[in-house]
Amino acid sequence: MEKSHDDDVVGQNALWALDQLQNFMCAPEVTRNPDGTFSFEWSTDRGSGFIQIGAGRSAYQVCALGSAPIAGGAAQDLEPYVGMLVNALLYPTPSSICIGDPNVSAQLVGCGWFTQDFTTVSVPKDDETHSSDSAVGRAFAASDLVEFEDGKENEFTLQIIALVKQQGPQVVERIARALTDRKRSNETIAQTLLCLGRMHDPATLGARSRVVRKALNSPSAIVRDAATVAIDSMADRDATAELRTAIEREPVPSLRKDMESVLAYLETAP
Amino acid sequence: MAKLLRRIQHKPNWDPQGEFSTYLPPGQAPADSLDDIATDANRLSIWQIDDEGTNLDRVLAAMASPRENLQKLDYLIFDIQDVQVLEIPVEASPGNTLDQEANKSWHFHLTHLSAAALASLANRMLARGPARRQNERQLIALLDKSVANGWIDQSRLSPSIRSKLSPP
Repeated sequence: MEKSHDDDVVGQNALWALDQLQNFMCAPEVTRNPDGTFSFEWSTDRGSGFIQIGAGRSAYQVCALGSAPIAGGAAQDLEPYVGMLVNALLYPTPSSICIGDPNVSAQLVGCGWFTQDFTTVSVPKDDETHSSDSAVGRAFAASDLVEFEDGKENEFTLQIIALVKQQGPQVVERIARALTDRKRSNETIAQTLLCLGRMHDPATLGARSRVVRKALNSPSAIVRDAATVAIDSMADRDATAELRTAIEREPVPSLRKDMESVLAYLETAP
Repeated sequence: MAKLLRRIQHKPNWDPQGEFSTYLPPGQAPADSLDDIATDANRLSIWQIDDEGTNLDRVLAAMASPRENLQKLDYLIFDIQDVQVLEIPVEASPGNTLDQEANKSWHFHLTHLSAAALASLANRMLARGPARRQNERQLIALLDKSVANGWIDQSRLSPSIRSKLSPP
């Protein structure tokens, strides 16, 4: 099925929203809805959060458990405050924003994001952290349901991007472990490598590079090809030695040629 | 003889000397290659490339234009004769890219496709392989050219792609 330009716009908006909110929230569960919109959802024993991204507008709602929504509405542009609120309310840690802080709350209320005075909501403060393993598991569960297409993001790739940007190198290692699952399809492995290669996140470059370089040894040509593209996308000069070795043993002529092109680029790029 | 272009996603499956060639008879496309020519309503989207290939760069830029990232664009070019010999109907059908003229002029659908015809087409396409690739740097250059020529409205490109193009 060919996608409409609206679908493309929604995907772009979802990516943009992730970029805007990534520093302020835990990685969401991402779902593509039948109407083409994307949903970001969070659910913990403290409550739930929901953002729906459309072509022209976005809707959001944040609820504490057992209470009416404390924030919600529609907006043309999502502001980071929504991510801050989700994090503070659903994933409180000593380092997260204290929503009882009158300065922060005044700033948030002043921006018109809240339908009531959320400073009255009681939020326990403890060290509970979101389980990275389960988040990675949820992301890979989504990979079975999505249709991969070059140039397009989907629920799976958006979750991977959000997880890596939010949780850093440790989650890249968890993703690498998940890729070794014998049930994992070559398509999912390849798409994960492409995703790790194209995201811009300097903090995780080393960890992502290690995962991608290792994949040059895969028995699957599709996976080796994706690793080659990912190395190109990262302009990963640390991969030149592994790439040379991979070229020597590569049996598929066109893939060998592509590897040689990437190697030449890495060796000559400024 | 005009050429046809099909976007593909799994490039190693379209190399006649791919890993599958060690266990499949010569000329037989691997079953996995059918993923790249999946039909919708028994139709397959293709682009027409003129004899001299003068519209190739513009078609590739058009294909890249609605994307959210430009990591790679893989494609395979084959002869219109490969379609005619299989008696597959070809119908003009507007494309869905940001280059409106390319959409109208060069986008077609192969129609009324049967599973058997699709498998035969895959074999014929494989014989025209290997597939080709445009990387991000090449796609940026192609999009720059299409924007400069006024074929694509830069403001409609995704923000991440727009930020990589040359300033107007």
